[in-house]
Amino acid sequence: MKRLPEAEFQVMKAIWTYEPPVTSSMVLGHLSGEKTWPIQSVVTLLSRLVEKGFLRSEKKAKERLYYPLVSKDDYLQFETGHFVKQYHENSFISLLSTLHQDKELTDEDLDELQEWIGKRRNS
Amino acid sequence: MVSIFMLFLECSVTMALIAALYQVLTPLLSKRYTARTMYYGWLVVMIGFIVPFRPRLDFGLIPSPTAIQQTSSSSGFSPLLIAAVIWISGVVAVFAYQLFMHYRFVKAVNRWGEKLETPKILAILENEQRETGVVSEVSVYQCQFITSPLLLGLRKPKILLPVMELSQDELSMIIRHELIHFRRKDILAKFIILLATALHWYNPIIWLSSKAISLQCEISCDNETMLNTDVEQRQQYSETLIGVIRQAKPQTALATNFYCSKQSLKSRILSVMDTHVKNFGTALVVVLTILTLGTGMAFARDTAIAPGGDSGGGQQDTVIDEQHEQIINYE
Repeated sequence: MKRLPEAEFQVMKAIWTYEPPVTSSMVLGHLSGEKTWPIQSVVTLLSRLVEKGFLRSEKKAKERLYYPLVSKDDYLQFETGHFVKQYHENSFISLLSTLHQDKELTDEDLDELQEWIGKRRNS
Repeated sequence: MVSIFMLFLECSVTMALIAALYQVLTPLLSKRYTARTMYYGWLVVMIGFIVPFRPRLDFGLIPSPTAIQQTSSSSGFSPLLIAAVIWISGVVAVFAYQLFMHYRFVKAVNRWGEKLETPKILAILENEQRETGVVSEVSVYQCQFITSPLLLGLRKPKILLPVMELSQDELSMIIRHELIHFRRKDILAKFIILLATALHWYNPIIWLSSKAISLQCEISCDNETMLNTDVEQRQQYSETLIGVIRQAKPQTALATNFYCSKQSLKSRILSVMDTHVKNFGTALVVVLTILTLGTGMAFARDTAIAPGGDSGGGQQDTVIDEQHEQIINYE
């Protein structure tokens, strides 16, 4: 998978909002909110996405129907999965956490802490 | 380049001693002083790591390593030069990597973040901005790829929230916590830490220190968030901390690295629940500053030592001769 350029990403984002199949006019309808896109460029973007394997298309009667092959979640994970590993609070990553990884918190640890807070309430 | 390398190496060794001492004394000092004091103390240490220049005395306890270097590296291609090149490459690599990752992150936020503009969120935001006195334009975004709330931006801050169920009270506490980070300009502090870790990447103490300072940053921010609150609210806040982690749990297939280890979460909660009055220890920060400045005095003054001096014995003489010259010049 490759990172999509902004325009193609916007088209994919529009497609993900619908139940497939999706037509070019549906995409256009979704995009028209922000700026006006000529229908021809939307069609071009759609065919580029088909080439890249993000969409599958079918010709039915006069219309071309598009089906997403890559789900939003999969693509999201492709683009941002590594951040989840590396980012913490306050926007700057710290290499430390990848070098000296802390033990993960288990549910029992959290229960224990919560219980401790509860005890403070009663005392 | 070799002399810059030696300057930073010397700084790395002396500051590591101070940082290690500070770290060892932290549990003791935390009993007396606020987390904010501890945090500022760490910032002094970090700045000490970044700025290698110190006032020098004419006599030192240890001959300066710079002096040793200058006498030993008369030939063109020394091991020191190689070490210096490796050092610089590491500095550039660490710094560039972190900035690149940050840039990628900001781009992902712009692409995937969904601005939250519901009346509920806006009302909470307005209220908390009033409470914290933050007048800048703040916006709240929801991002699928983060597991803990965070703050982005120095001028027009964005508060980023992970996708999770949060009650009105939890939202207010989280937003207030992030607004206080913004008010205190903690991102600038993060930048200082980033710079220090890049410059001293080979020094394990700097990595441990950066972890310690992040914890103190969070603890002091928690404390400021909970200023003038009662035990009940503090309990609620602690439970929010735990709740956020609990909800982040299902996503941990992706998130191997949630920001809180058990120990640091515990420290944060203990600190939130601790209602003892503590002092802001100006004295502690002053002592750290003096120690940091004072590290230069452990070394002999190392300016302009004649290169290629014969042997170890001769070196001392050179230094003394230098001093004589200085004195004569000043007379």
